[in-house]
Amino acid sequence: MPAPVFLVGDSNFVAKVGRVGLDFDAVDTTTGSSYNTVIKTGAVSPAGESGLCLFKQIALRVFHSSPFTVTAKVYVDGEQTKKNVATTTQYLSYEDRTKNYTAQETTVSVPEPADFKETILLFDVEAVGTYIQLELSISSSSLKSPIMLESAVVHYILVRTSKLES
Amino acid sequence: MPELLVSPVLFTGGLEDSKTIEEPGDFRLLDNATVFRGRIAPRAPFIKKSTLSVDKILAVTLHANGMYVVTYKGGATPVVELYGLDLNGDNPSLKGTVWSGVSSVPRVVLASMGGGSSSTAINRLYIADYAGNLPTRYFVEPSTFTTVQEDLNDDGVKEDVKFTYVFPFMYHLFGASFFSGTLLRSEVLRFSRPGLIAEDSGSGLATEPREWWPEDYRPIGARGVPITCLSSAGLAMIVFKARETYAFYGFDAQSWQVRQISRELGAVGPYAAASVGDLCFFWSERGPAVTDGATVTDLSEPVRKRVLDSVDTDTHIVAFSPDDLLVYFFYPVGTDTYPTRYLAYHIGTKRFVGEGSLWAPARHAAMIPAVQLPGPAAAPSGLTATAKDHASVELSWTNGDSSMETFTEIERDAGAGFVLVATLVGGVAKYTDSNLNYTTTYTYRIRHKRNNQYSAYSATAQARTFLPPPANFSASSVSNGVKLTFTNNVSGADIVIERRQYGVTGWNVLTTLTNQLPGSITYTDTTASLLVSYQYRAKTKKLNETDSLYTEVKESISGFAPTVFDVYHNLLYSTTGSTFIHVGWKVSGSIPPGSKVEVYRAFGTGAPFNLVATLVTVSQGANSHTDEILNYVINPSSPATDVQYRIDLIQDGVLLSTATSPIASYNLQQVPE
Repeated sequence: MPAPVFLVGDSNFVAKVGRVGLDFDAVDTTTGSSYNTVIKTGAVSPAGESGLCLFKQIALRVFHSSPFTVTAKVYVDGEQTKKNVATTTQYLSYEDRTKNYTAQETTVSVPEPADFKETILLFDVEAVGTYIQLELSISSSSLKSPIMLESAVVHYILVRTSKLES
Repeated sequence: MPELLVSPVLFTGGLEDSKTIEEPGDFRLLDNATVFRGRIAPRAPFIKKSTLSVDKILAVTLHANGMYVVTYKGGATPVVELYGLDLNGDNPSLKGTVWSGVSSVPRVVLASMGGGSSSTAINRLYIADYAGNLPTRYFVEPSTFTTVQEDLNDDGVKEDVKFTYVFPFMYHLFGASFFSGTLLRSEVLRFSRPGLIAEDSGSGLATEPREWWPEDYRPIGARGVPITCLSSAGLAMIVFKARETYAFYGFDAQSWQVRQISRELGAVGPYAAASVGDLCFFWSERGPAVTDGATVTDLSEPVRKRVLDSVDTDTHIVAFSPDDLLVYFFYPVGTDTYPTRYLAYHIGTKRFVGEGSLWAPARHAAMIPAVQLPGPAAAPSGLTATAKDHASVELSWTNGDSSMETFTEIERDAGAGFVLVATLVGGVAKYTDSNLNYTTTYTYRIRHKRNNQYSAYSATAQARTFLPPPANFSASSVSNGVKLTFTNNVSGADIVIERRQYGVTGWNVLTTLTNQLPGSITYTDTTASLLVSYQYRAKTKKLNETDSLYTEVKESISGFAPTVFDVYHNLLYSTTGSTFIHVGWKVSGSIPPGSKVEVYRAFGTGAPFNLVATLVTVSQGANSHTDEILNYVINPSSPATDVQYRIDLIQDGVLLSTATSPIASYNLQQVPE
C-alpha cells in the first residue's frame, strides 16, 4: 500500500486505513478490540407497499476465504420473527402456543475454505407481513481474511397484492 | 401450491454486478462494516495500529519523512504533546510538550514547512490552535519547540503570534488570523518571507531581520468572518470561509491575488478540505463538494439524505487515499460529536462508491505515505578543502544528489571530533567556512540528507589556515617620513613591510621585522622622499606556516607639506648710503631637499614685489634675512614709505608655500648714489 490514510480519534488510537473489503491487514488483537459488525437492511416490500406476503426463506451469498460466524435476525413488519420452542406435539391453546414462541435468530458457522469460495446461507422464516428486514451480525474475532457479503434474496408467497397498485 | 417468489432484500450487487453507493434506506444499521461497490465487508477499512498513553489524539501529519501526531492528556495540568511515529504508525516516541496547562482540548492545525537560505536549511513543524487561544509554535528535530513571536502590529514590541491556521504554499507559510491585544482580525491571511528567510523589513523593529513582515498580508472577504480552512488545488491555494470560497494565486508578495469562486459554499471546519492533485475536495454545509480553483461543484446530490442532517458542525474531515483513489468524507451521525461514518468517493469514476462506520469517533485524518520517500541518490564526492586566509576555508564538491529536497550537511573536525557546521539546500556545491582560528588544521566531511535519510560521508579533506596578517595596519605622515602602526598577533612572527611610490607598479620590501612579540608595533619609514605619496602593505611570516595574506594597502605622504608663516620686518639702521631692514619668518613641516627661499620686497605704496634675495639654506622654525635698501637713509623728517615683504618657499621651481608680512612705514630719504 503506497499511501494509506492515517486516522486519529477521540481516543488514544492511531489507525490505518486498509483497503475496503480486500486488504484487511492483520486482525486487530488489541485487548478489548473485538468488533461486531451489525448491518440491518431497510424495509423491503416485495409485493409493493401494503402487499401481504408469507415470507419463507432468506438466501444470503457470502464470498470468503476466512471462517466466519454470522447471526441472522429477520424482522417482518418491524417485529423480529419467532420460532416455536415447544418440545412436545400436543394440542395447545392459542395462548399456550404463543408462550412457546421465542425470538428467532440463526447462527451459522462456516469453516475455512481451501480457497476463496462462495457460500450460500439459507435462513428459514415463517411470517406474514408487508415488509421484511434482515439484520446480520458478524464477530470480527474469528476473521482471518476478508469476507464479503454479496447479496440476499427473500423467497415468499404472495398472499394479497398491494391495494395501492393500479 | 402457491408460487414461490423471489425478491432482493440486501441489494443486488456483489462481485458480478458492482453497484455504487446504495440507495438511502438500504441500511438502517451499519456498525463496523463497509459497503463498497455493492459488497459488504465486516469491519470498517480502518485498522487499529498504535495505542499511546494519552487521552485523545488531536491531529496527524507527515513531516520529516515520519508521522507526527499531536495528543492531549488530561489531569491536573492538561498537556498537549507531540509524538513521532514510523511511517507505518509504529514505534511512537515523545518529542515534547507543545502546550501545558491548556484549559480545553484544542483543535490543532499542523503544517510541515521546509525552507531556508542556501546556507541554512529550515525544516519545521508548525502547530497552531484553531481557536486562536494558544500561541503558534514550531518544532525542530530532535526536541526543540519555539513560540512564534513577531511584531505584527508594528508597535516595536514582539508578541506571541496566534494563528488559527497555518498552511505552506509556494515556498511561503500562510497564517490565518491576526491578534493584536484583544483585537481579532480573523479574516486576515498573513504570509511569511519566502522560505521563512528572515529579512529586515525597514519598519517597526527596523534593524531586526524578521520571518514575518507586518505589511505582508491580504484580507480575505468581509471583515470578521473567519477563515475556516486552507488547502490547495493545483497552482491555487484555496481559502475557505464557512460559506465562501476563494482562490489565491501567485508566487510572491507582489503577485498574490485573490478571487472569490463561491459565494454559497465553503468549508465547515479546519479539517474539512483535502487536496487531490488539481482538485480540492471539501465538506460544505450542503455536503461534499469539489473545486478546481475556478469553480465549485456540489457533489452532495447522491448522498444528500445521508449527510444533510449532519453538516452543522465543524468536525467534518476529508482525507484522500491515493492507494485506491478514494476521497474519504467523514461525518458524525445523530448525537455523535465527532465523525463516526464516512463516504468514499472514487475520483476515477467520479462517484460515491462506498460508505462505512468507524469503531471510535475520529478527530483528524491525513494521508501518510507508507513507503519511505527516497533518500539521497548517492553520497557527495570529490570534496576539496582550500584555505583562503587565516580564518576561512573554501570547500567544493560534486553533489551525489542535487534534487531540491536534498540538503548537504557539512561537518568539521578541529581535533576534538566532527561537529555539524552548516546544512545547505540542494544543488549547492561550494561553501566557505569562516571565523576559524589561524594556523589550525581542519578536517571536513560532508553528506547528503534527503527525507530524513542520510547518504554515506564523502572522503575527508583537510586544510590549514594561514597566518593572520598584522591587524589595524595604518600609515600616517610624520615630519621625517611615514609612521606605520599595526598589531602583531603571532608570537615570534616576522613582519614583512612592503612599499611603493604612488602610481608605480611593483612592490619592494621595505624591511622585515623579525621575531616580533604579539602586540602593537610602530615603524617609521625615514627613507621615503619627503612630500611624496607612498603605499604600504604588510604580511606575517613564520617558519613552516603559510604566509598571511597582505594587509590592506595604506597610503600616506612622507612628511608634512612645509608652510611659511609669521613674516615680519623691522628697521635696523642706516649707513651712509643704505638702510638695513631685518626680515624674519618661520617655516613648519618637512623641508624637502633642494628647497630655497626667495625674499621679495614691495617698496612704496602699491609698488610690485621684487626679488631681493635667494636663500638656499632653509630650516624648520625661525629664519631671517637682513635686507639692504641702497640709496636710502633714515631721516625722521622725510615722508613715510610703505615697505612689505613676501617669502616664497620653492623646490625645483614649484612654489611650496608663500606668506607676506604686514605693511610698515619707514621715514626714509633718498640720497644720491
